[in-house]
Amino acid sequence: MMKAEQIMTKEVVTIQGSATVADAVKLMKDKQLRALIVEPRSATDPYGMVTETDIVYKVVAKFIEDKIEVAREEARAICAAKGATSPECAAAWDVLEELQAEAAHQRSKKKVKSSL
Amino acid sequence: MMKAEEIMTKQVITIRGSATVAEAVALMKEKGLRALVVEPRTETDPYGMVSETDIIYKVAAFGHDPKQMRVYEIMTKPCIVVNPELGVEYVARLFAQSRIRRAPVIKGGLLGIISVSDILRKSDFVEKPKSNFLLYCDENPNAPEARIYED
Repeated sequence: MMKAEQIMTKEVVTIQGSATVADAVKLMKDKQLRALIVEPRSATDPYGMVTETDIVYKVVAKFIEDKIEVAREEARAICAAKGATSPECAAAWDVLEELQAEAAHQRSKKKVKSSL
Repeated sequence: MMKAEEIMTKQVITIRGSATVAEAVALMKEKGLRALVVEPRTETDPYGMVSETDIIYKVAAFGHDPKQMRVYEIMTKPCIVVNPELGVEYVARLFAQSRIRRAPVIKGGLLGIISVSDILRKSDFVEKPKSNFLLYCDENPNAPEARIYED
């Protein structure tokens, strides 16, 4: 049976975890790679990896967090205009809570699934 | 927002479901592709797709002989398809929700294939990130919240 080392791609590019996603995208485009290795920061630190799927799933499609931000601003504005005890104000906060629940649900789903 | 058709790969290779996996592998290697589209056999038949992941997970991983296995045994059919007018950010969201990485672009017939690589390499999400709020303003230019932000 052939071994991993016989067919692996030897040209590996690493990136720091603190780099921006824009830096990672640029590096992937320049080097024609679909994944970058995140080097351990210390001897006990594990290896990491960032893939183009990570970027597309989590950055390009990043809607929900923005939605929450918009809903929060809206709720504040409505409550300021209609009064903190008004039904409109309560409804606006309900919308925000639903979004937050959805986001929490998505996060908990993500934990069990691998990005690959 | 950029559309799927602006960044899709137009060079698409199709294969019959009855072809062997070995034929699919040869075609992928020759054309440098990660997936092949399985064309519908009739007007009511759906599109399908066979990817390198299908071949590695379902054939190579078990030591099966690719010459003895057929594409229909490992393909995904029906597969999720994308409309050419769908915005790239919506394609990304569709992919994330359905845990897929590529889909054929269909309207009337097969126009191309769009993958996470196309989105990463050809879309403008780095230069022009679109928050949900900006998308909302795009879609509802007459909303009062959107008008505030007009130049």
